Amino acid sequence: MAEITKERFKVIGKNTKSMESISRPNIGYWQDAWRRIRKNKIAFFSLCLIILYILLAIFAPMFSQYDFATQSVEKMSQPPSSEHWFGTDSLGRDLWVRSWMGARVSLTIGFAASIINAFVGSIMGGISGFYGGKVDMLIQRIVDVLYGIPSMIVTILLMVVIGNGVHCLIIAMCIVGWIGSCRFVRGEVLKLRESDFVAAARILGVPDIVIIVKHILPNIMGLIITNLTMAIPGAIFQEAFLSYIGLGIKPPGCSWGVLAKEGIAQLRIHPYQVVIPAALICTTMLALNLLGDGLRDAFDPKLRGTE
Amino acid sequence: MAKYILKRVLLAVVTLFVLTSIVFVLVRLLPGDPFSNPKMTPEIKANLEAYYGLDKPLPVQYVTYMKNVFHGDLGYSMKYEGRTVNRIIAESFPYSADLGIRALCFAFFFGIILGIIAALNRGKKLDFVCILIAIIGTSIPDFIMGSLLQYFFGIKWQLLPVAQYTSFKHTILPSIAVGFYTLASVSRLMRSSMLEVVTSDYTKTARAKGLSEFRVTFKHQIRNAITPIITIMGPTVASVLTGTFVIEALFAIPGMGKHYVDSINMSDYTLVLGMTIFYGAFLVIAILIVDILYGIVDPRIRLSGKKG
Amino acid sequence: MKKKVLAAILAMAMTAALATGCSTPGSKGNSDSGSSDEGGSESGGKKRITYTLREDVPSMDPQNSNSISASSANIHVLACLTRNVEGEVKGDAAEKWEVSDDGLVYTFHLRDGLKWNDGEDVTAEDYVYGMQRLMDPEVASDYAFIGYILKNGAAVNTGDVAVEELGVKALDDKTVEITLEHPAVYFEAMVSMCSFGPARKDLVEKYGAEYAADPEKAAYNGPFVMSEWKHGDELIMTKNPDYWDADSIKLDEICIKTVAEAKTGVAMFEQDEVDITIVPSEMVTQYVDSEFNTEAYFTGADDYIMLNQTEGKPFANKNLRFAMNYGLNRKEYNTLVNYDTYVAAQRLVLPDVTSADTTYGEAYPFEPFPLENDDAKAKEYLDKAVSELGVSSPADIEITLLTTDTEGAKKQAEVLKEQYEKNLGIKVEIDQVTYKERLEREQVLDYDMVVTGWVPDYSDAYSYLELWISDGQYNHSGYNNPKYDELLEASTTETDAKARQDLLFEAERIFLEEDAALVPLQLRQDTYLVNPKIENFNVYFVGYDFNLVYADLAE
Repeated sequence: MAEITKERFKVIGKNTKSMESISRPNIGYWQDAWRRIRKNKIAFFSLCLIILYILLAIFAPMFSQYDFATQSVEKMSQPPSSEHWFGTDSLGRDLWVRSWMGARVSLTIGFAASIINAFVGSIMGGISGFYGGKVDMLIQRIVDVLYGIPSMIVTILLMVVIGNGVHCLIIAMCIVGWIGSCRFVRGEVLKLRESDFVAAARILGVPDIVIIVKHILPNIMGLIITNLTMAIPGAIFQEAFLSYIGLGIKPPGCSWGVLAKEGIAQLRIHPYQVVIPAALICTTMLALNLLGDGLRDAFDPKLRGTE
Repeated sequence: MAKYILKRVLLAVVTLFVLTSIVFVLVRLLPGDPFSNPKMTPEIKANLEAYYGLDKPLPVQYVTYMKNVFHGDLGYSMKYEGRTVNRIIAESFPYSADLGIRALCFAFFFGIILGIIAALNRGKKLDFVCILIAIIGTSIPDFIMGSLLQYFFGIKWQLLPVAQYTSFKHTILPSIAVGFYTLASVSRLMRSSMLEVVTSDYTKTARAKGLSEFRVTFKHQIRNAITPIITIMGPTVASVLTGTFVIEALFAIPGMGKHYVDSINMSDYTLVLGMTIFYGAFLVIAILIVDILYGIVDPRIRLSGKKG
Repeated sequence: MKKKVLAAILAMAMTAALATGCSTPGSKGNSDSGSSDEGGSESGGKKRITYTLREDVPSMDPQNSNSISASSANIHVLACLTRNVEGEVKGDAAEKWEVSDDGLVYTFHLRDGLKWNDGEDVTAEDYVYGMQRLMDPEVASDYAFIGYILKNGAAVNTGDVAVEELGVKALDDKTVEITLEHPAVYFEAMVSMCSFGPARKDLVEKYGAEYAADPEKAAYNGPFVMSEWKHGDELIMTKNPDYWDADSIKLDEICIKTVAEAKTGVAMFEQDEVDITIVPSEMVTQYVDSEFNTEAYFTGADDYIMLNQTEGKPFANKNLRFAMNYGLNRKEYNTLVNYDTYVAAQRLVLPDVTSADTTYGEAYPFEPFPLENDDAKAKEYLDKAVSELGVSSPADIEITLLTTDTEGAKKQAEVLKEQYEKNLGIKVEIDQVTYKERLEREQVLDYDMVVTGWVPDYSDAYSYLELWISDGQYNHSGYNNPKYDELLEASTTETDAKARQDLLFEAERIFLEEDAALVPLQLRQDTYLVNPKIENFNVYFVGYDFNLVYADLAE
């Protein structure tokens, strides 16, 4: 019987580096998400479609023989043909080029506004939910007030100050737009704040910022992303609504909302003029939503590592 | 609980006060004035300004207005001669509310069902179909959706009336048009949160306890999954019930929606403010109810200021 | 425990709200759904015509509204001193009237036995009171300027003299004497407008600001009475059996529906829900040669590009203004923007207005500018302008086109920009603002050019021309020509109708041919779908748009 003597052990000291190391091959958070998104065929296809639209928006108007603003009496409202792939509008302008010019505006507004909103909203919602109490009360009251201010007034005033255009619309949408995600994130954080792993981290004396970044954020990332993909359509819609009431971008520029609005008047006579922008809006939304679902799964730490 | 509600109501009043004050200033910054038209002359404008008290200094106007608001008097509209803002709201709100309630019934009922079906059949064909329906709802701007419904059901197939709001048949198309977007967001959110619940520990516990699948689904999963739906309910209810400009215009419904847009376009100061106060109050109340509901439905969330 | 009870209560409250909402379809508060038969035509032997308006009538107070929809509705419910039917003036409440030799004093004699619908007698005092209300600064009518033609009108309206000083008197119960500031041949047509209509002092005092805001808050002495007004939804007028000429009134009911979207109105027409509705211009071609009955009417609105001619602005240069006029293809513009439903305008005054004993257009044919662009002439003027402005090429001339946010305005701006850039080679920048901002910027002359228009207040060239008097209230272009002012001034004192018209035409000629003070664009013409059974319906361009007073429905 061998005796266990002290000599057989050796103090190697505290290895702070390997303390929390994981023996599995280390796959980063983003790497893992990317790996999973690629496996999800629908989400991957959606991503490709969005990239395709972005590329077309950039390059299609450059390589077309037509200009987006050139009018022609002879070519008023011609249905799609080999000459004009998407037909022409009521002023005889080529709709293929106009559609992609519109895509530039709509996609820019959609992405910019919703990303800014998600970012600001998450921070405000996170602070509000995590700290609670007076801070929460204050932020929520600001949110209530902002919710109540008619966005149309804000947009008109901004137009007066900085002129109408894409930047004006984005800013107008951001002034009140962030409160949606703020409210949502706050709700989630409130829920997580009470969870066991946050309590455990608290007991271990982990600083707040680390708790937020390491524990809470990954858990709500999926929902934020899902929310974001739903906010892009929201922003594109809002632009369409503002165009509908006449507060859109400067003519002869256009967006999908403007095209849809112009087309809807022709619904009974030249249906293609509304079908094309509607289809573009619709497929973009579809792709973004499906991608959002895919991303949601990809970012969900609870599903991490599962096949 | 009573104390909490009282506190929130007080805060709501403060919120509304701040909101009204901000909009009071903003609306006057709008270019033009309520009376400008191509044939307006300075003399006539002066008469009109005196008539509506707009010739007084702004702080005086503000105090007068706020005093009246506290007495429940929102003043006379500047566009619709002889009609008070209270009256305009009282006349148009029932239409919007009625339409909104129908739309919400439709949206929440089908939205939640779709979401649940999708989540319980995750990854299967049924899931995909449900998602597709939901996404199509969020994919079409309401003015296109409304026009298409009107065109196909009203004009082409002659199944339903194209416009107005006089009988049940008249309400179907606008209700769907208003509700579809909400339906889509409800079902998607429901699906997301259902999925989270399905993998949760308490579901496993419930199963381990030997509860029937039916009880697990209804008693544990749906009840928990419904919480995020409640968060979006507040603002949604408020905005849907107080009217939708596009759909009301399209279906010739004399609701409140058009006043939001028209009053601003016309710089009808009193009407803009009246609409803002009404919508703000509605929103604050809706959010308050939602917050209370939230605390009740989700046992993990405790309301601050609770007692016993 | 408490929580659960509360939850149950809340849940019940919500379901109750939902359930009641769902179980009472179409019930609108306490107002019942009205007649079940909405679809125009004859229902139960009643002759009823329904027409649509894009917007609710803002006010039924005859003195307190300047909207054409309100004055149209009012000519149905009020008997003014005279009645205007497509420009033909006849006595209504007044049986006959005399004009003094200097054209300044009108004496109207009321018919016998005129009654209000509540049984009161109609007296001369009611008309005097109506006109005093129009001018009273306390009432603050926004259409008061129409009454500046009355003696002391402007002075009363600005509060300088008392209301009693207004040149309108009741000589006795049945005689109204009106004194004018200057002679005006169009005055007898003008008094047919509801602004000069009667008002009931007792009811005005009783209801104050809410006079005529509801059917029962006013009285009526016209062919119809307002019987129901669901604000924002519909306004119903029913035949007034006490009207002095009730025998000539064939309809039992007129219903005005508010339908914001014109294309919805068209769909409702196709489903026989309405009898008269406007057709949006893009749909006109579809209906003109179809089985449907369409009719087109001038609205009187005359659209033009207003050029800011103040010092320092590009259009202070006359040659540039001419270049703008010759460089525009009005025909193509009209096709692109209006689908040819409007008429391309080459002059300022609507040719249909009355002139002495014919129409203005027939008496004074005038085409100062070509229908299609004349590139040679445009270039000639542009070259001069380029050298005068001290720039090196047309491309250096940058002009901002102010426009509003409606779909139509946007299209106009897009087409004009394209044409001017193509035909003249100048640069045009579109500045799209809200309607109210546009008006404000026009007033302070903060623009280069703007598409705007004018709707006349009476059928006379003067209504279009008075705008451009140098110090005129509505002259927001900076146009200033003493010769023009003199001609218009002379026309107000000229009592010979023909000579007066000559003066006015000379003013129009100078304005366009010599000064090219604006760019005429289009005469608006609205196309309506009209139930073919309707007889004697008309649309006119001053005083009212829809006139169904003498209309009838064929069997």
